[in-house]
Amino acid sequence: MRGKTKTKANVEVRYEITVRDKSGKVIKRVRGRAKSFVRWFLQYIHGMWGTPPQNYVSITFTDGTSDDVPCGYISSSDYLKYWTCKGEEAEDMKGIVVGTGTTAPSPGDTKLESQVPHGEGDNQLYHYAQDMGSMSVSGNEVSFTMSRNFENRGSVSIDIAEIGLYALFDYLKGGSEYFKTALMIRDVLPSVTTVPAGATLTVKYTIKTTT
Amino acid sequence: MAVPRLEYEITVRDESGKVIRKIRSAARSFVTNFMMIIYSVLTGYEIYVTNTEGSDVTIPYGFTDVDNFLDGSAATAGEGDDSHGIVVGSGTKSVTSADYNLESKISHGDGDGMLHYYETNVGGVYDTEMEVTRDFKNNGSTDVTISEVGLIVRFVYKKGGSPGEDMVMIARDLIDPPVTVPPGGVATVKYTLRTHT
Repeated sequence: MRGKTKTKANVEVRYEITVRDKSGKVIKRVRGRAKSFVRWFLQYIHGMWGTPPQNYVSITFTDGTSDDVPCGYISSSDYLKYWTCKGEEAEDMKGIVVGTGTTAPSPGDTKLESQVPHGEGDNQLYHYAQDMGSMSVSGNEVSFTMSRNFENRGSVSIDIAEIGLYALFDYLKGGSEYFKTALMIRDVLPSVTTVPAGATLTVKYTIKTTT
Repeated sequence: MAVPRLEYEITVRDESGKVIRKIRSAARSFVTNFMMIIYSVLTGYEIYVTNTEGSDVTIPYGFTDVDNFLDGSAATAGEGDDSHGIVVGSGTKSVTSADYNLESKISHGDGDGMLHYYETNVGGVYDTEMEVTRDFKNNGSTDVTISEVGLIVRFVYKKGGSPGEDMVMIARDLIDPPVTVPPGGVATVKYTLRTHT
């Protein structure tokens, strides 16, 4: 006998993009469902679930290089120090990032197509520290939200078409310490969001499970 | 494309190897512990979870110093080990986000009312999905009914200079209607995690 039960999957990732002009007035707000966890996220989960306590996870980084990253503590010369997606102020190599690329996401993406760098000049955005929020439990819903502000301190508008999340790996291998960035999520927005000169863009991701 | 999606499949074969029941479903099963782990992974903070004994524990994440670090974590489990990996039970209580263990686990063993736990295998990442599977054989003389399945990850770490270990359930699903494993039969439980479809 064969049977099939239909139920809803219970992980949801949503994004919200808000643009405020120089005076703080909201001039655009877009909400959507993020759909684009890439392969490297799964690789890391695989490392957490699938290997004996001492093993390595194969990751391709934003610079195009690949490495087998220690997942845990193997020896005093080979171990993962930390892995974080929390972006700090004036830093564009980890945390929530934005870009102008429009190519549809694919599972093998290793970086944003065309990242807008941190900076105060034209076609740059000032990256503020990322707020990681805290865990919220409401009935059978568990969620947390992370958000980051980007300010356009230049003199021209910037069109944002893609958003993503970068993770920084800090690990020792063969006694040498490495700091490497990998893409975890990339989404192309349904339409371009313009950030005028002087305006601030806020990108918020909410991850939620419902049982 | 999709966000992480978990599915389960249960296949029951009789003594001769013939498939007598097969069910597949999208799992609605990730519990709070799963989110706490994802939160730590994203932030680099320590992991605050409830272990399968119901105790709230704090597990180091990454490497702070030689006395405080996460050695590793795994859902792989050896034959005969029912403390982690895929586990099955006879509980029927609804899943809640606060669940930290199966309601009523069926123990490893070869007697009546027990199932022989083979090893939990975690396959490689194939493009956008990975599979976790485990076989359970009924070596007893009576039917065994499975109505819940779960996935438990083992964390091994050092904290304050002392070694530690915790079993943490990250997913639990009710099987409704339940599946019956006849004497001599084998149930294969497979979880598939997909990040794209």
